[in-house]
Amino acid sequence: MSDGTRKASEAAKDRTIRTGRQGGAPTRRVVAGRGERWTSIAHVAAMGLLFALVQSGLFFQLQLRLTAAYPSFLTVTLAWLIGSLVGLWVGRRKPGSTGFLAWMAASLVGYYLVMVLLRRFPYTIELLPVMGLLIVMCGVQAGHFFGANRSLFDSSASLFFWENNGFLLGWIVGYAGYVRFGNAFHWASPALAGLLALGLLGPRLGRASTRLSSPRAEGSPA
Amino acid sequence: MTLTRDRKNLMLLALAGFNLILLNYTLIRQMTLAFRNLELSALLMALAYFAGISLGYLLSDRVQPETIRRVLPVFLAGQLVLISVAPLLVLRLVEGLSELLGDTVGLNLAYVAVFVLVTLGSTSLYSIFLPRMIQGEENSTKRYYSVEILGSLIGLVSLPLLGQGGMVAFYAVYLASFLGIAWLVGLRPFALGALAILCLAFLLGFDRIDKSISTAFYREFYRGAGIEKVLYTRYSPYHKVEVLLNGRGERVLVLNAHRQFAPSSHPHYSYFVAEYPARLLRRPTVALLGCGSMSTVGRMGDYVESIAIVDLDRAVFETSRDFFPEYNRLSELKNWTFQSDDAKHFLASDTRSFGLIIDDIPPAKTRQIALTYTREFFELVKARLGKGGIFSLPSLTPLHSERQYGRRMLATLNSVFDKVYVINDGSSSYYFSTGQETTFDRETLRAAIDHPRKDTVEILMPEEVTDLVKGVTTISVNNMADLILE
Repeated sequence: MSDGTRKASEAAKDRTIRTGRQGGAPTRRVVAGRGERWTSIAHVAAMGLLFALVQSGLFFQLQLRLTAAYPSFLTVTLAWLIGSLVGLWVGRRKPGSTGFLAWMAASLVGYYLVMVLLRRFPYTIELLPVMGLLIVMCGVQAGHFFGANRSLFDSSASLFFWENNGFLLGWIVGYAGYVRFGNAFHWASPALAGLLALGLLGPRLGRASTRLSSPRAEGSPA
Repeated sequence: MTLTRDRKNLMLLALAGFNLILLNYTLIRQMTLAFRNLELSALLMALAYFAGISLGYLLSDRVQPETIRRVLPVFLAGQLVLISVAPLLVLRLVEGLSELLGDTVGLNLAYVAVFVLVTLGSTSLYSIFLPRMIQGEENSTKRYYSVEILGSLIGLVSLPLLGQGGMVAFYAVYLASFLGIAWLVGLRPFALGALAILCLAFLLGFDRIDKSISTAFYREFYRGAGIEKVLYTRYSPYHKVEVLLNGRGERVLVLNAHRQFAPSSHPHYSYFVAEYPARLLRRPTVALLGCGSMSTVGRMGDYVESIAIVDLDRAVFETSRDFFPEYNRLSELKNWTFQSDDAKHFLASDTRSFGLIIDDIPPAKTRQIALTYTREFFELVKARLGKGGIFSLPSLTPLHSERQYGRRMLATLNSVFDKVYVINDGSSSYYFSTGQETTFDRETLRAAIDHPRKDTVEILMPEEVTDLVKGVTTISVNNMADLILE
């Protein structure tokens, strides 16, 4: 074994120990073509965008129509994280399946119910637990998304990376959108982002379970 | 103690999730404060936080464990430096770059530099672990990601408790968690020991360092104000509350690096905002929205029936009660109550009517505060104003200046209330809004002024106000952003 190979081997071993990796090489989950890869990236980023727009909309609307006090921030963050946690453990692990649509719909319904409640019963702090539950419903989609799409790219880091970039973009768009369009932006943007994410997944709906989430069908080394 | 590899991984992720939340609360907040908590700086620092996470994901596959072990001490040292010297660092950076390249370019470059520093030195460390572990095991996403989320949840729930214990306790927990991560990634005992000593030294010296840096910052920033030292610092979920001492032995209240009260404002500002309308109305019941030093309470306390002081931040109230008693006279007066609440929520949920409502909330530099200068907010105020009552709102932007800020505020008041009277005292204006049933003439308004500037202030009557704001855009929740970014 050459020096270089030995070093590489030791590094891989070390990495295995530290990260819990079971094999020396990363598990490959390569999607079909280059075009499809970019569509997948766009879809994942659009999901990040959607999550950011939902979160920023919730933060601001609660601040505006309920209270700017700490419980608003705590409720949105806590409920979203709980929702994500739940989302990781529920539903079928298949992107593009009805599960994806169902959880996206649930998320948007949760968001718009919060918006309606805030509009109909402004400054009613007693409704905070109810809104918390609805925000949990919004967050479930995020957890489900990560659970379902773990194998979408050749490395899970790519999934997190592109989703987070979308999220980052969502904060910028959320801010600029509010500056330009005011409150109306918080009503329109999550639905539009949802449609965008769905549109980018659209052609693969139905066959997505084989195209995207069944790595063996793609001839993956795993 | 021997831990299995799996348990180590789980602990590592939980601690990373925990510290990500704490880091958001502390480092990002400190950096935002360094730019004096402007809306744009808050947004940029939040973006830097998320950009750091992206960076961690990007490097996740590329970085070897040995590299992580090597950069950990650098991260820790960098974060401690940023946390402790951020305000001064940013100030020097802005000044230095502005001198070289001009004000706007200098400030923008300073933003870029701090953005890069925060991106590189904050969250990227924590986000590196999750994808590595998920990558290493089949079907591990939900297990590993759940643990990281659980860590974040614990961090979030701990925040209010940690906040109660003060920043030293807060940093102690953060640093302990950091050391835990360092141990779990296999940092050598010698290096771990050195880091622990560094952390301990930071914790022991934090209060002193924080005050010294703040003192240096305020001496430079408020040149000419004769700031000598920082007497007191307290962190709350909403503010960094500081009391400064100037060369004349006077105390100055500072909230999030903005000077909120200096004794020089007591004879003028507090008189016109509070005492003047209170005496005009003869013993009204008062709602004071936003407390600050509560110098207004001290000025009007003898002339009113009762004062309901409302402020989101109890820490500001308590600090002012303890450090500005000669101005607010809280121990002497018995006709006040304090309620920790958001002004909007208070106005919408309290059923009482008030004869005088005073808005003593700082200028609209952030969205949260700007909400209290909107038509929607003024409508809430109007609903709580009793018959014949006055809504008193000051503006520190001269009405006749080029800036629209003061005129837009006035236009908004004029669109909600039947009549708006203005007393213009040079750089400050005081707006008094009333219903149709209340009428004052100019002579009555001037005669009621019990102040050395009685004959020099300008008084604007409702019809003059209407003329002045003709064509000026009112402020609503839909367009307040341009007010913040003006």
